Amino acid sequence: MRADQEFEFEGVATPSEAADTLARIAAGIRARSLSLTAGDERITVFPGGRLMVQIGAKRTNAKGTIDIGVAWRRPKV
Amino acid sequence: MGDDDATAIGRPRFEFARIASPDEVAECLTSIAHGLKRGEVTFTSAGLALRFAPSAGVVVELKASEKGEQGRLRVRIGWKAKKDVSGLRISARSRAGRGVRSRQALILPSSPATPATRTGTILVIEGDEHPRRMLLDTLAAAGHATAGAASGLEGLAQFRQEAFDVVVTALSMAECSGVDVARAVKKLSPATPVVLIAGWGDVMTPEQMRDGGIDLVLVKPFKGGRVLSVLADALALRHPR
Repeated sequence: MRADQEFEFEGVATPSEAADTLARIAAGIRARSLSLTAGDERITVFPGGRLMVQIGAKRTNAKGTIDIGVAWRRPKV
Repeated sequence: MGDDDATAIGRPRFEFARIASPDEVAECLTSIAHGLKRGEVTFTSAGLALRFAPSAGVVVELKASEKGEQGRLRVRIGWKAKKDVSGLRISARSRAGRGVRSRQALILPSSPATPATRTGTILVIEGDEHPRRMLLDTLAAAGHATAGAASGLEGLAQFRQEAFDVVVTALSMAECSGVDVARAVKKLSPATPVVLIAGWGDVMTPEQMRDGGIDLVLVKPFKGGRVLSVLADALALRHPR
């Protein structure tokens, strides 16, 4: 099994830029290999097999959020 | 967005969970991305349509991990309908082997400017208003004198009229791209460093950067600490000690 790894990033973007980010993540998931970079940090994860997807969206008068979670079981290499 | 596996809890809340193939998940994310591009994401549940229209600035939170037998990815897109987030300042810290972690803090109008080791006059050329405003605010808060332009042609006109220590330009702009701007700036003033704003996935080789007159690259989405660090490097090129 590959080494454990973790990545976190938070930034401000336009909805169009957020859409581009989401589209690239979709392409990575479709390819079963998703690379994420921020500055000098980079990780690659391999979401394969059956995935658990959770999508939540909520809105109040003042704010809204769209929350997307994807989980998978890593293959024992 | 699908129906059978979704539940609407009160009004405007939507939850959805299921097991899916990578292709199905990718299709789902692509659908949300298309909605964001259009300015409205619609989720449907039991015949009820919930519409989400993010404001001009959103906060994107991205977490990914592979630990033990589990892999996880989380994307959170948040916005405030009545508040401009252009004053959000992003800072980041990394921990060895743990990836990069970042935090956000709101810059209030009364906040004292963050002292910078070296300040200069910076021209920011960016077609999109929100990132341009965010860059200008971040640089001004650090003590730099700033000017903004909404297109390459407008920026070059300003550059011909005023003296700037550094030019920061977006790559993708109509009529006059960031590379066109960089080449024109170097022709007018070879000593002026040019910082190119690139999106996620834009890749330039060192040869392309050199040929295009680009000294440094700033990758979007922006982090405040990274913006100031790149600008400090650019000013060091302009005024070597």
